[in-house]
Amino acid sequence: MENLHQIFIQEAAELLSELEDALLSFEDDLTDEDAVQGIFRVMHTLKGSSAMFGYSMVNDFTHELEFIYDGIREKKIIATHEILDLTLKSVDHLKQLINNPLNTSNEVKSNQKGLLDEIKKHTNSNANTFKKEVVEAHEDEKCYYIRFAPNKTILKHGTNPNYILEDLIDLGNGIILPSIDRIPILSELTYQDFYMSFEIVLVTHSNVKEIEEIFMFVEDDANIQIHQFEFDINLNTDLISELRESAIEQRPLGIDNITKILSIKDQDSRLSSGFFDPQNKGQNGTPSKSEDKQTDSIRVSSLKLDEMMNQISELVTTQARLNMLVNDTGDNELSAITEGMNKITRALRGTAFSICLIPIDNLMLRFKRLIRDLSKELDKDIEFITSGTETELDKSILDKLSDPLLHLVRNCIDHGIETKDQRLKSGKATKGKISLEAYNSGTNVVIELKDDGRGIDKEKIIQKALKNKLIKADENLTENEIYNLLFHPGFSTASTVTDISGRGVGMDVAKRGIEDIQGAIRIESTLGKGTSFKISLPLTLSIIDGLLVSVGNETFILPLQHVEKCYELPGEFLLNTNQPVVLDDKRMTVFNLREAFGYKQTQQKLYQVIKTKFEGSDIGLAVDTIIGEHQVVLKPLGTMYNDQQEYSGATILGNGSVALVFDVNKLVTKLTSGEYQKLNERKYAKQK
Amino acid sequence: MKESMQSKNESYLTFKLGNEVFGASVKHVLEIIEVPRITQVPKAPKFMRGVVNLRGKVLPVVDTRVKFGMKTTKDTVDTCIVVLTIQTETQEIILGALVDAIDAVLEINHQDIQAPPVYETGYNSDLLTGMFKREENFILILDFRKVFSNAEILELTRPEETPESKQKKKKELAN
Repeated sequence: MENLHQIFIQEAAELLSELEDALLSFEDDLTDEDAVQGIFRVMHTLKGSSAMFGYSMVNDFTHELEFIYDGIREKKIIATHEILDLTLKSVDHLKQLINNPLNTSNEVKSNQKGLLDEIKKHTNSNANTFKKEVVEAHEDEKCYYIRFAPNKTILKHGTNPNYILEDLIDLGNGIILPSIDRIPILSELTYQDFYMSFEIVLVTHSNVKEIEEIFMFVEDDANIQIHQFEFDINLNTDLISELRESAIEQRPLGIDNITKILSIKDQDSRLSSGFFDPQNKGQNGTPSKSEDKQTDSIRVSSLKLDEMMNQISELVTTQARLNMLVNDTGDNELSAITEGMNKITRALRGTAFSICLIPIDNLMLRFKRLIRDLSKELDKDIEFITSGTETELDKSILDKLSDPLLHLVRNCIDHGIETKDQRLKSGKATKGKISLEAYNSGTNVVIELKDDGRGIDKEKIIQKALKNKLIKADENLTENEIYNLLFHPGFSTASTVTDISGRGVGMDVAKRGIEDIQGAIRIESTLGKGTSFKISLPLTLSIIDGLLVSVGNETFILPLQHVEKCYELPGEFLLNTNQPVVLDDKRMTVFNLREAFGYKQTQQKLYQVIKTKFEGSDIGLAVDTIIGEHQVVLKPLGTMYNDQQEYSGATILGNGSVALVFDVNKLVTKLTSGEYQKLNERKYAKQK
Repeated sequence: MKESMQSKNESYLTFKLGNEVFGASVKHVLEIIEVPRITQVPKAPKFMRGVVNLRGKVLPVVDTRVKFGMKTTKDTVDTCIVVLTIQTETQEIILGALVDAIDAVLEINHQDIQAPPVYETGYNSDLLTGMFKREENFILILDFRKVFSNAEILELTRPEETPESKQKKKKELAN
């Protein structure tokens, strides 16, 4: 049961975000009927499932909320921004209800009551017409033909079709005609499958919608047709027996035959046009998007995916070992098979890998809502433009990207975009623009967040940094270094602290968050024109391309995304620690890893220097030799190496030994901070 | 308590560290493996010998001798890694512990287990849970959970300690 609740909560969360999305697109175009349909449908599903799981507050609430959109749908209520605001607030309330079902504090209750009162205000003005309509619908009986053909697998989902039939007959007076045409021969019969289908002729006060509701939970598991006859039928015994007899001759009877039988009795053969097919519930006949999604995708727990990725990583490693072994044997047949397997392994890895990728689009909804709410609050007019949101990222990265990106977006809204007046004064359109662009670049994904606001005032940063004693007055900083000061903890140039940002925590949190997922962030800005944050991220954290290098007796992996260029350097250049070396006519600090790690110094003639970027400046890392490129399956080092943050993990090489994988940013941080040096110096001092 | 005082047996793995034989409950022991090539992690605490490949997983290996402040020696053919699973408050850690040789697995009755010795034994006696007698020798029982639990390790990985303990080891080796 606990498990089911979890599923409900997850589903409800998805429904709510779907609802939010539909609401926001509805806001752009208040005449969009598809959007209203979508909103109504989601609310309705939420209402149904919350009732099923005993979330009565959610159920009651959505029940009322639904009325508004039913009204809009029926063109009895005119959609206004006021209603939308109310609905969005309601969505927030629902989120709270679902996440903390046990929280029945007065605050929550009064919130619910307040919202309900407002909702009722909107529905009540139309209450009269509403009631009339409801009464009318109940006045005369209607006759329906319903065909209910459950899928074979319906029983597996725990649905008992009998209950549905019972519910149907309870609506009024009816006859069920079972068809057994789908029952296979005995040898093919399995007890788990369901073979029956039913035709029902029902005379009832209920309208199509109420009948639909009965089928709500089996929509996907059955083929359902509901057809309303325009004529009145009195289901007397004559008619019933005639239907039964005909049904024995031909099963299923089909709507045409039933119409014939009924129309003979009624002398009226006109059929109403209210044909209903749940697959095309959007009444204009276009299936809604989410239903498409349901049919061609399945839900898998991310734990299972992780497990699969682990196993595939294992396979890749084992394959690498096999390849190596086969090369040694020189057996042609064996190597041909291994070659083939290698291809399959590669393809499998690619597929598995792509399963774990999700489009950035999933994040956008949060931002749309945030920008909408904040711009209202701050009285700024902001347009949010996204492009390339189909770009995919590993799920684990995307999850961790959300918070840092949120901080940056807040920053754009609060500090970036000026107020309407200011924008007018500086000759800009009152409507500010925030754009988010995502694209693939090599092995990285780049996300660019831009605003066309006031830009960053470098002077202001320098003044503030001087005041906070972060820099000295005579320091000559590059543009990049100045912008990087913004990421300093507790640094904020905003003169007033607002609710949204300005406390100076956001930026350094954002930077740290991005670095945690091996990403890098760069600021570019033009004063008066706008600011852009460029975030580059690895595609995935679990499999990376790396450069295999050796230092001392050990081999290490340097992620290829950090390698800019490799040089060869004679040993005498590296006699002193982090002595600047001129390479390509540029001064570069080079760290000798052999020395930094405290390995014995040998009179090595040549070192390989790998050029990498660290906070915008060039840094060289000297290693003994570069062995070659290597595809790396990253494995955690474990908590016992918590202090060794300079390694993002380890990997198993083809020969079965373990190689450590550098986290270049953290390695360089340790190198430049002199942490290694201190350890070494202490060692030398003691030896003396 | 009473129940455990009665004839309840528990299995203990006995192993050699230096000249001494130790015992430890088998409940933490997953398996015992030969020493493969160990990859050193530069700048890690001295008692962390490095990492090895355990069927595709990266297994951290603790040099138990260093951890107990004993002299280090060269690995022999008898040296092996005891793969342990330690449940801490927050998580389960899997690690390898280097020991000089594996001795036996013994069934010991609870009643035969005595309180640990109070006298100076040359290693951290906080880590002992008791001892039992085999023939004429006493075997000290180690509490693997205490030895390798996170808190213990964190205490030992204080950066100040690393170079000093290294230094100490060097001197000891020179003598």
